[in-house]
Amino acid sequence: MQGLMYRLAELDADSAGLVRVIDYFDALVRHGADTASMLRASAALADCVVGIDISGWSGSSEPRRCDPRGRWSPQPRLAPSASKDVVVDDVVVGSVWIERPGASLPLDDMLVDRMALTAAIILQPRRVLSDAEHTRNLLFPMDELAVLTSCAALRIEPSTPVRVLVYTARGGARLPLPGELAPGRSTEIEVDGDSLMLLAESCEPTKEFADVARSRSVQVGLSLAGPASDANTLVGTAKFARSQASGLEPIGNADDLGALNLLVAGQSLAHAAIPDLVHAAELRDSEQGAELLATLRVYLRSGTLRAAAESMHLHHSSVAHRLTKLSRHLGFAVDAIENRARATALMMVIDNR
Amino acid sequence: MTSFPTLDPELAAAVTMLPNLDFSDLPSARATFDSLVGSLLADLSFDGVRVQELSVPGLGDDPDVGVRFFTPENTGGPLPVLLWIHGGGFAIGTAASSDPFCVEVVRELGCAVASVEYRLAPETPFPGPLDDCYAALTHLHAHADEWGIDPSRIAVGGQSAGGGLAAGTVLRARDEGVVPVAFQLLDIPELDDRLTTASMTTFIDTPLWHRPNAILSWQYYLGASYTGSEDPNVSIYAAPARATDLRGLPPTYLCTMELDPLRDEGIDYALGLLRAGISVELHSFPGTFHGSGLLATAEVSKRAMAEALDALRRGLRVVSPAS
Repeated sequence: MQGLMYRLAELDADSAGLVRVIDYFDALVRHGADTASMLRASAALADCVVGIDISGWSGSSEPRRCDPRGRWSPQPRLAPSASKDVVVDDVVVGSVWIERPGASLPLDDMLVDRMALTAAIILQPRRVLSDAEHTRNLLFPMDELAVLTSCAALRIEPSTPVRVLVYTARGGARLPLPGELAPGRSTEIEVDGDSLMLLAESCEPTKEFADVARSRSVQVGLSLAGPASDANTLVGTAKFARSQASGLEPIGNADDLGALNLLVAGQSLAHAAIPDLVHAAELRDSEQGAELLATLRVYLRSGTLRAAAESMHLHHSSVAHRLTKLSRHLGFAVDAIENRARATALMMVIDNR
Repeated sequence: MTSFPTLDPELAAAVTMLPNLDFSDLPSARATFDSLVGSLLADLSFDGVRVQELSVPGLGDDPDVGVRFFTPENTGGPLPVLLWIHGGGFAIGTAASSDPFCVEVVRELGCAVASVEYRLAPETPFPGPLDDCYAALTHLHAHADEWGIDPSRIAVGGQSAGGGLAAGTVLRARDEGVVPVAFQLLDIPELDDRLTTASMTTFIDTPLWHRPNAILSWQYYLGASYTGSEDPNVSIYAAPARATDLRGLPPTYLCTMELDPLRDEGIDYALGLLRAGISVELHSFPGTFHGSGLLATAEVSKRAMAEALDALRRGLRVVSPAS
């Protein structure tokens, strides 16, 4: 009788579902559960019998089993459908299991995994990680599970679109970024001399922020946008954007570097994360858009409006008109000298398909 | 959402799996509630309990009122009865959503339970829902023989908005002097439209019930003529906390939950009853939230259930618990 609570069978086996299972067990730990309440809660979520045997930890403790209604030692006893060792200080002290009749659920393995972890934490209390440590684990994760664990602890839906902001930490003088821009409970962290923080996708550094950065001679990088669960892949683009910032323009925005972001070493970025490529892909689907892109291709090869017009048998003002139109679609001036590399990279990538 | 460090661990875990019941979107709140209750009822065993879907005439021109009537399968002689009123902020829920509770009461106490299918706000604002409950009470009393119940051992109880309707029904029974109510069971009752208590002003994002839902709930229940918490024309039968004379009411069990905006109005009502010379048992459960009793396997929920059953057993003078 679980009344108003969603149970395991009702959760999707996607990252959001995994985060909810993690969060469920984290809440038990945060609120000081013992093994009995952990078992009752596990049975309630699993909606089947669960058990624990930790006689390796405390020789006096008998195996315990609990059903979804919170009754102990239910009959009949089924063979475990999934189980996991409980490990305390690298020593296996016992195991937890579930007894699901019939077909297993996709999240059953995740459930016993969390049961085992929670039991280990209850048996030997560990320090709870701080928000800063979770933020660090999200930006520099060990594995995919660490990402989801951090998302759960930081109260961030894994699909939430975010950016990463980076600047050089100089003896702890922080730039005045309002904390409410940070999604969930994430905080600013310092890693290897860099200050890093997560921002909501939509937020843009204010003029005041840029002024402070300029006056302190601090260069700032803002990453491409992506889901929080991929935040680690965005860090490189934030640093790349910072490397392109200058004293006059102290904030580098990775969006403005377009396909050049693919130059970031050691990263495989989804093209969908780069707005220039998304816009170009949309354009290419229409005849008119394809014509605009073809014009840019010729322009970049020939070097001037006149030379491009000549090879396309057009008047040079028509070429200029097309490039202006294309600039409007892409969100940057494709024919400006400072955007030459960005435009060239864009064409190189889309021609490489 | 605010984290509530005093929350019981089992309930804290359950909170992460709760649906969002947003009273500003009633159709979806009703659908969410119904689907969850549906899975709850699918698991429910009625072994040893007889359920009949009956009805009683409504007051005046009102339509008949449905009553889910629960009795032990093997019974002799007139039974004490609990008139039970389900919760749901006056606007959601069904009598059947209380079936697990009603079945438990019949099994544990061997008494009868009559669970009222009152009409819901905002489609039917006050006094409609209260009239339905009152109609069920007077009919049960007047036709005690046909129903096989003992007219001197009628208790009235309800949960949440049902607790408010129960308190209103009992006040009206006292005033009209027709039905002697033996006992009232007010489980996390919703009693006060004025929304000024400390818990009601503090708990704006507590699980399941919070100030924004409470505001809407009273607007739905009190209807278009309601002008808000300053409205001088709110009936004490709608908002029993407004009653100034609580003398002559039956012995009462009242429970509240720690992280429930309704906590303080419940405690205030219990204190008012005590000051009026009424025998009251008041229990506030730690680490709980409004409706956390629906998470029935949690240890604190089991304690609360056992306590309510015990109070009811004494209130209805059930001599020996059913085996």
